[in-house]
Amino acid sequence: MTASIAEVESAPSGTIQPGAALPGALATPSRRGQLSAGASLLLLAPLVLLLGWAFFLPIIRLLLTSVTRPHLNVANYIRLATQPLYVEVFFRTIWISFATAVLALLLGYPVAALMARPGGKFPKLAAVCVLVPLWTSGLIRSYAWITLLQRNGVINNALLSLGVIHAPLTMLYTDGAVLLAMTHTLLPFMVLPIFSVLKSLPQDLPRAALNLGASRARAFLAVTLPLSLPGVAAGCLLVFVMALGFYITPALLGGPRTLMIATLISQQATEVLNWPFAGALSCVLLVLSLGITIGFKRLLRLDRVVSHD
Amino acid sequence: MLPGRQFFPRSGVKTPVSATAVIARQSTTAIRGVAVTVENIWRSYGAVAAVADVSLDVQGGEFLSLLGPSGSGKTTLLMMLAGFEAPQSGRISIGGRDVTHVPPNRRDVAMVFQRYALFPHMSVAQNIAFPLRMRRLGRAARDAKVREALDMVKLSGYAERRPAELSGGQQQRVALARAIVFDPTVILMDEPLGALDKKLRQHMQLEIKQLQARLGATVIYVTHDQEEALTMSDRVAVMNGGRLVQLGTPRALYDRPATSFVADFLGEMNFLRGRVRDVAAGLALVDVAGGVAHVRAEARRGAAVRVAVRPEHVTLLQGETTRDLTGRLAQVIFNGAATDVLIELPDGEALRARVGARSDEASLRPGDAVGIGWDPAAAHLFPDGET
Repeated sequence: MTASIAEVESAPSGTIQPGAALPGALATPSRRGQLSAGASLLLLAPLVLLLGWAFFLPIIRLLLTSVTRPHLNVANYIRLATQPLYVEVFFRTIWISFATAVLALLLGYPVAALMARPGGKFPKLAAVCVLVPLWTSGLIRSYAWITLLQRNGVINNALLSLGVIHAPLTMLYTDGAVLLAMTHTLLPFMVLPIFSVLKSLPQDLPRAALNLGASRARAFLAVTLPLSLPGVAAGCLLVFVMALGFYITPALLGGPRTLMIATLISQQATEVLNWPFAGALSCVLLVLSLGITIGFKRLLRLDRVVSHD
Repeated sequence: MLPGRQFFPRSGVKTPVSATAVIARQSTTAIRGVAVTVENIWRSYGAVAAVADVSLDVQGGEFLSLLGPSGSGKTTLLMMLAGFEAPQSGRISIGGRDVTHVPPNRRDVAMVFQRYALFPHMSVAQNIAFPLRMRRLGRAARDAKVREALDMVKLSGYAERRPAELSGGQQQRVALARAIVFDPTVILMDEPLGALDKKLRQHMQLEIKQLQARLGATVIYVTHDQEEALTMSDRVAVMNGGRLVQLGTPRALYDRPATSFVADFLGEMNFLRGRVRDVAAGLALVDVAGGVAHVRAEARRGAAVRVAVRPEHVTLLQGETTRDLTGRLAQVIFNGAATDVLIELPDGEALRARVGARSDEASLRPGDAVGIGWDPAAAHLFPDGET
């Protein structure tokens, strides 16, 4: 079985590298502990089929609907680009996602740094504090924020009874509430990549910086921070892109004024039943996410700037 | 304790004028290195004392090795000298200044790390310039010093490379250059050659030695390699179990080990268990391995002891069976420069002797009966039971 696949593989290449083993030898498990290419493909097949049939196909169909129904046209995209409401939703989504990433970075980096410190009780405690929310449903966390932020919620009641304020503050259904809850939900995705980079950083490096005369702050700025940038970039990208498509939290905590793309898509698909327009929105969201991911990687080239083993 | 071997004469030592002039042109001959004093340092982790009551006086310009097996506390001691760890009690002073609680960046001691600890995101030149930047040196002065340091470690063409593009030996040189570029008075080295292969190690040992002589800095060098410690150091401090076991010149440690641990750890040593039979005029006769061993040492009659003698001090006489100690040659081991022979003693214990490759002893064959002897002054006596 494997032999035949290996032969098929080697046959079309035609030119066998000088010094390379005979084609038949490719099938022998020469690299110990590694599966042959054929076997790997075979093992991947179920996942590829499932993804293709249940993920890519529907997405492509949805995207196609946006230009084919009722006939071939780009009216949906024109509508999207010309109606201020929709343009506004896109800009708001990008803005909130960006702000979420920045907030998560500011809050998450110190936590990651604390977790990466060797020994002691605090790193473990911090790790638990980061991971437990990750295991809690986003829905539950959103409702938790509602009980905190609503008109007669925990915060308003506390402030009122303390006499700090005399009328309840409007906190729920604002951009701020959405931002806060999204940052909270996505924080682990910022902390974990930064943590893993910091943890793998040799202890000797900041020590060498101290030894050579750098203060703690300068050692951090000159050595630890630049070397942790790959983690920062990964975290920011992860949080930003996840925030772009975030649905539950903005839908629950945002008001009608804080409409975000995902909520808009859902409205179009399930309430207005305008699938072609939902498809157009999805297409733009997809292109946006992909574009930002690729652009970000190209722009920073962090994997090249910082390469250490 | 005698001052260490000096590679350049200290001021005050009379040297011909011309020689002094040559040295002066080569470098600033003066010993700039300052004294390092450690007083009754303790450091424990949980119930384990990593460094227990260690006191140490390192002279200015001296090359001192901290030698010991892993877990002996030598690295912990170095970390405390660098300021990365604080002692729980005791005092450390460098150049007369109490630095026990001074943070590492204010100690002005350089450190060379075992894994080099070069900054991977900076070029070689940026790495070396780092301590100068921290000291706010101007750009021109900085560049000049970096060039000088690169020259000194023979890496002039590599300024713009990244550390990852260099070999292990070259990375080690960059680490050295970075450590010496700011003219530190004390340089700490934590097994800096541990990751290099043997040939390169020996080469770098020589270079570090020459560099130190040129800089006149005090060097405290941690190693578990006794050969390295013996060849490089003015003095060696042997550590075991967190304690300083013996401090002295390489020759003193080798010839007069204070404990059987030092005797065993430095060089090769035969140990023979026995009981003191008689002591007369400073010469102890010890019943060992079916014979009698002679050791020039004071001992109590009847005491359980271990006789220690180095292979190169053992002399063999072919066919001589009237000696106090005899044996049968079991194996000849050729190892290049010397030949070792293993002798089986009457009670089955083995004794190693080193014989010259061209001596009569080298013609001995397995099975030959030999008489065994040594200069009683070259043998040592240690109480049995001590490790």
